[in-house]
Parts: sequence; C-alpha cells; structure tokens
Amino acid sequence: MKEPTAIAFIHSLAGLFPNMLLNIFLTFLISFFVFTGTASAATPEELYGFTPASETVHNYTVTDGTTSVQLLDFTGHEKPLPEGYRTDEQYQIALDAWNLEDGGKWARLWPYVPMFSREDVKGFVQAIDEPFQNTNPNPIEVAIPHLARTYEVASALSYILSPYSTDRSYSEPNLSSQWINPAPWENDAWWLGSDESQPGNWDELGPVCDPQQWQISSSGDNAYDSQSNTAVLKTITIDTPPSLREQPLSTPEDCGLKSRQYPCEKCTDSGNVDDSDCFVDQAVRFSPTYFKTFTPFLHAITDRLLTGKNAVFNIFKPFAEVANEDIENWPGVGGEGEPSLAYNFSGGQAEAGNKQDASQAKYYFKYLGTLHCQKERLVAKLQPFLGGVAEIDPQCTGGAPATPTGGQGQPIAGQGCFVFDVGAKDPSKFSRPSVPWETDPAGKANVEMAISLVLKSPTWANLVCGRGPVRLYRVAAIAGGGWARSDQGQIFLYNGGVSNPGTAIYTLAHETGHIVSTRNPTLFTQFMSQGVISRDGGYLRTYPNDKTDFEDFAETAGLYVGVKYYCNPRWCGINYPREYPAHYNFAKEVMFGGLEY
Amino acid sequence: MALNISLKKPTKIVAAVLGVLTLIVLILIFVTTPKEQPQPGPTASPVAQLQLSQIPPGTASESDVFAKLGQPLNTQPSGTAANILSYPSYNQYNPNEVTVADGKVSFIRERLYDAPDTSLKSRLRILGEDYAQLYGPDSNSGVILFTYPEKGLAFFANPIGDVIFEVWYFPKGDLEQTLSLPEFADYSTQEYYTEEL
Repeated sequence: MKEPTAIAFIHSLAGLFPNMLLNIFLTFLISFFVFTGTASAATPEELYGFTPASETVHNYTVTDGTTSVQLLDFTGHEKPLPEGYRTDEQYQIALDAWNLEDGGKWARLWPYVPMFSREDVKGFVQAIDEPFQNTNPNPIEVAIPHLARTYEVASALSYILSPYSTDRSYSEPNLSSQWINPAPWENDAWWLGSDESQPGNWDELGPVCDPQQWQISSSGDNAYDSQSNTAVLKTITIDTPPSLREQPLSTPEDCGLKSRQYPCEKCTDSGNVDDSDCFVDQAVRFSPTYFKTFTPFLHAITDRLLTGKNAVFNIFKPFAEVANEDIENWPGVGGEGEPSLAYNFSGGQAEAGNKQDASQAKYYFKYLGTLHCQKERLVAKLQPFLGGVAEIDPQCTGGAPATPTGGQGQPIAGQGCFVFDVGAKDPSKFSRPSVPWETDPAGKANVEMAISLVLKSPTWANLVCGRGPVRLYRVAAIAGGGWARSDQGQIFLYNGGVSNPGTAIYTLAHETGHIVSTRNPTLFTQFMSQGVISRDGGYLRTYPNDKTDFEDFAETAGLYVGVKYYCNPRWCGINYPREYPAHYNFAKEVMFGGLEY
Repeated sequence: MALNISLKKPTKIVAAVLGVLTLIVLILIFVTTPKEQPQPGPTASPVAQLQLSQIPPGTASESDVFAKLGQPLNTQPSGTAANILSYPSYNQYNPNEVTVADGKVSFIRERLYDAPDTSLKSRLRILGEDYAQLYGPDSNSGVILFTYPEKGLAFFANPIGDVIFEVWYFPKGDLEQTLSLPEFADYSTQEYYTEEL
C-alpha cells in the first residue's frame, strides 16, 4: 500500500501550463512514483531537487465537480506507469483497463489530484521590546495559506527552467537583519523614543515609557489576522515645554517658607509653594521596538522566484543585476503624517508607531508584496500569448485596497492609482476650488483615456503609483494644461488640459513626470547624472514656461507619450528622437521600460 | 555537376536542435551583455569640494577662487557685471558654479549629483531647525529650498526622498536680504506657484 505522500504529488495544473511544461511535470510525477511505488533508495530531494514542503499530506477531497473521492481512495487505483511493464503492449493494456475501471471514475478524477501540497503553514509574529518592556510576551501564531504550495511550485519551476548543473543552493536576501523600528518620533518633543525606557524611574521626571503591557489583539481567525494593535498609552506629567513656559514674576512673592516665582505657582496654607499648575499632562504612546514575522519558506520562495541564480522571474537577467535589485518594494508605504498606515517598510526596515492613530498599526510580511506583484507583471506579459486580457492587481501599481485618505474618491480598477476627486483647491495663487468631475463628463472621459495610455508602461505605472494614490482634481478655469502638487500626490487639470484627448494625454504624462521625480528622486538624479540635458544641448523647447531641470524631466515624459497625440502650434511636427536623442532614449529606456507609443 | 547533399532524419534533428540552441545562446548573449554606458569625465576631487565650501560669498575675491580652485572649465557672463565660473563637480555633466560680480564672489551653486552623501535630514539635524522653506518653480516637483539666511546656506532638496540636489552658498544676512538676491528672485515663503503647464 502506498503512503499518502505517494499520491500527493500528482499534477492538477493541466489548465495552468501549456502542454510542453505539462509533459515536463509529468516526468517529475513519474520519477516520484518510481520513488514512492518501488521503495527506491532515492529521496524526494534527489528526485525533485528540493525538499518538499511537508512529508505528510492531508487526505484531500478530490473532485471534478460531480464526483468526489478522498485522496487515500486512490490507493490501488493509481494510473499505471510504463516502467512497471515489460512491453509497450502490456502497458497499453493496463492503461486501457485503468481508463475503464469503475466506469472511468479514476481516470476522470486523476487530473484533479493536487500535484503540490495544499497545506497551510504556521508562522508567528513576535513583538521585540526594549529591556524591561513587555508589550507582548507571547508570539501570535498565524496560519498562512498557499505558501507551502507556492514553495513547491516555485522550486519545481526553478528546477525545470534552469540548467541542472547550476548551483541550487539559495542565499538569504541581503537584508539588514531585522525589521528595525528607527524611533520615528525622535524629533518630536511630544513623543518618546523607544530607547528611553528607564526602569525604576517611571514616576520621576524626564522622558519615560511605561507600556502597560497591552496585548497584540487577535481576530481569532489566524489566517485572516492581519492587524495588530500596538497602542500603549500612558499619561505622564512632565515639565512644561519651553514654548508654554511663563515669564517669572517681576517680584517674587513670599509665601512664608518659600517664595512664589511664577504666576502659575500658588502659596499653600503651610507657607510652601504649590507648583502643580506649572506642569502639563502629556499622553504618550509607545510601540515595541520592532516586529519579527516568522514566515516559513518565504526566503526560499523569494530565492527561487526573484533573487537566486535560478530565479524564475529573472531567468534572462544576469545574476549580478538581480542581486542588486531592491526586493522590498511593497507599494503601500506611508509616512509619519498619514492617519492610517502605521508601518513603513522599505530597505529592509519597518518604521513602527503611528503618531496619529496607533490602533491602526499593521505589519507586513517581507517579500510577499514583491512576489505578488512580480507574479502579476509576469502573468500580464504572458497573457497576450495565452489569450485574454491581462489585469494587474491595482495594488501593484499603487492603488490601495483600503479606503484612500483625505477624500471621497477611490482608485478604480484599470486606472492604477488615479483617483477622480474633488475638494482640494487649486494651489496656484488664485486658489480656485475644484469642481466635481461629473460636471465635465467629456473631460473626464478624455482623462480616463489618457490614464490608460500613460499607464500602459508598467515601468512608468510603478514609478507614478509606487507610493500611493494620485488624486485628480478638475479646476474649471480657462488655463492651459495642469498643475502638480507632487508632495501631496495631487494633479489639478484646467480646461486646456482636458478639452480633447490629445491635450489630456500630453498634460497627464507631463504632470505625472512631476509626481515621479518627487517620489523617485534617484531617477531624477540618474537623468541629471547621465547629462541628458547637456548632451542634447539644452532643455526641450516644447515646454513654454519656466526652464528648469525638473520641468525638463517632466516634459521628457510628457513629450514622449504625447507627441503622437498632441500637436501644439509652437512645436507641431517635432522629430523627438532626432532632435533630442538623449531625452528620447532616456524616456524610452528608463522611464517607460522600452515601451514605444 | 551539382552538389547533392541529403541529410538523414537523425542528422536533421541534430541540426535543428543545434540551430535552436545557437539561437538561445545568441539571445542570452544579447540579453546579458552590459549596455554601453557613458564614459565618466573629469569630476572634482574631495579636496576641490572642500575648498569650494571655504570660499565665503560676499568676502572672497575672484583671485581667491582661482587660488583655491584653479582655472575654471569655462566662464559665462551673467547679467551686466557678473560672470559664472564653472568647476568640476561630482558629476561630469553638472558643474559647480561660482558667480563673481564686481570682482567678489556673490553666489556658489554646488551640485551634488553622484555625491556620496546627499541626505537632507542629516544636515538639518546638525544645522538646526531655524531654516526657512522657500518655494519656487520646482515646488511642483516637491523640491524646496531649505534656507539658512544667517549661515548663507541653502539646500535645494526633495524632503520626501531625503535628497539634496544642490547646495547654495550666498552672503550671510536675514531672510529679506536673502530673498533680494538675484538667485532667489523666483522664490518666496508662499507655497504657491504662479505658472502652469
């Protein structure tokens, strides 16, 4: 009798992979069955090239939608393999018999047997405190679905798609060792640094922390438990800040035993001075120094898909290039002032502690955002070959699944991170109010079309949207183009910027250039370092107003996308690649990832 | 006599496989070959950078500049009575500029592209928070001028990305005096911008 593991690794991916890959997978299956069915001395590692996620596999339900059996029911009904028969004729007879067995039930259900494990894996989240703090003494266990299967699929793919002779050992991604909370409130007098705990001095003057041992809450459903409450509140009394301090009395007032020096001081009946009104109460919060999330297989998955020598997603890139890529770029990052996003994860560090609302604190699993988005982009690129239309998860182009802050609008599927919004005022000196987009449906349609074109390049879409939503405001003013308030992620569009599709494309591409240079200053630095402007003999002549490096950067993008669709009388007919080759090539290769409009 | 070569079936298969493999190898070579990069040109040495910060605008003379920095890469007239002298920076395409008016250094623009340390936060932490934020033509790209009038120092920087692009040196004074300098003509403490695309 075969063990359950013998049946576990049977393909169910017929619908997912083209025939060629399926055949290769079948080779693996056969190898595995040789191993499990004949008590071969080979180990699963030798056969697969990687360690399976689990030696024990659950007794899954296998169903084609009409008939259901349990995995163990296949015992004695497995598909025959050629290796078990002396001649092809004998094997064909056995195969025909198996196809007809029990009315063909086993042959019909065979493709639905899972090839890879479907087990959830358990990880845990641990809050790491400073000495003498005790935010949460017990790690919270979380069950994480899909990871075991992802690990096995990724490993199998990596094994299949890369040469057998190459080194298969994976390496740890280059991270700083932990998710370190860099005490983001260190410059704010109203917040205390996490390193200022002073045991034994909590009731004395000076900055202290008393975290009160609040627990990280759990929803009760580990698989869905994605939020942790790290708020720790304590009201302490500290010295009046200098900005609130009073001027001393011109003449001290004798209270008997002591003298009253400040207006806030009072004389007591005993002749002393009561200075309690000279102090203020401050509510302070404290967060654990950092979280650790322990996620099985994740580093191995990352290695097989993204960072290793045989990484599936990077199979045509030199390893030196892969090794230098930043893999921590989950798009949803937040800053100190944002009201809902508490943890800012980049460069291997997580910034913990939200000043506005600590109850919203969240943690992230490292690598998962990147893995998910890389998969989305890969599928989007492959989709045209497989048929159908690719849709990238909006989160991967900056659209947040949660309600955006600061307005009523929502990111719209297919529109990346753009939000049609109303409420903000035109930041020019005229301070004109924005109007609802519904008042200009034709203009909105032009902008929607422009969005689809501008975001056609995944490279540009990620640069624009990689740090959150971009809000679009309609300002009903007879003015040309638009205006970007990049630090706020806002673009204001005037009549001239939406009146026809061409101007909408040109304007939006230009204004997103401002967003990109703000959100990706290293790209602007690259633009300058490569001497794009000086190599072309100066700024693009198409931008009519201030000639600055940053306007030229934005115009480089605006002209690249818009030159085909917009014809300004001042420069209509310009030959962009010939007249400004450095600008054009930078736009094409760096900004837009090779995509030609 | 015509040469008649006929391949047997296994030979054809081998030839086809070899052809495919050759194609794959060529594609891989093409994909993995590093792209040609612009060759680096002359850039400033750390010593030159240090000397740049030792030329106090308002007091240093043109001869001081030549003594500290040598001959400029080129000289351009600026206005009626000023010249802009270009000197190597960290990046070959973006030289540092020393403006000399009436024989005195009036302004220095140090460009930090490719510089090893461009953190705005670290400099503000050292210099203190008594700076003025000035807004100008590039405010819509998130670029603000962090200005210390009393120190004669300003950082043209993106605070979101914590990157300084340029360091400006100018005569020390108060904010009003600083804003009256020609290099600050497009800047104000007001966070709005008067021109649109």
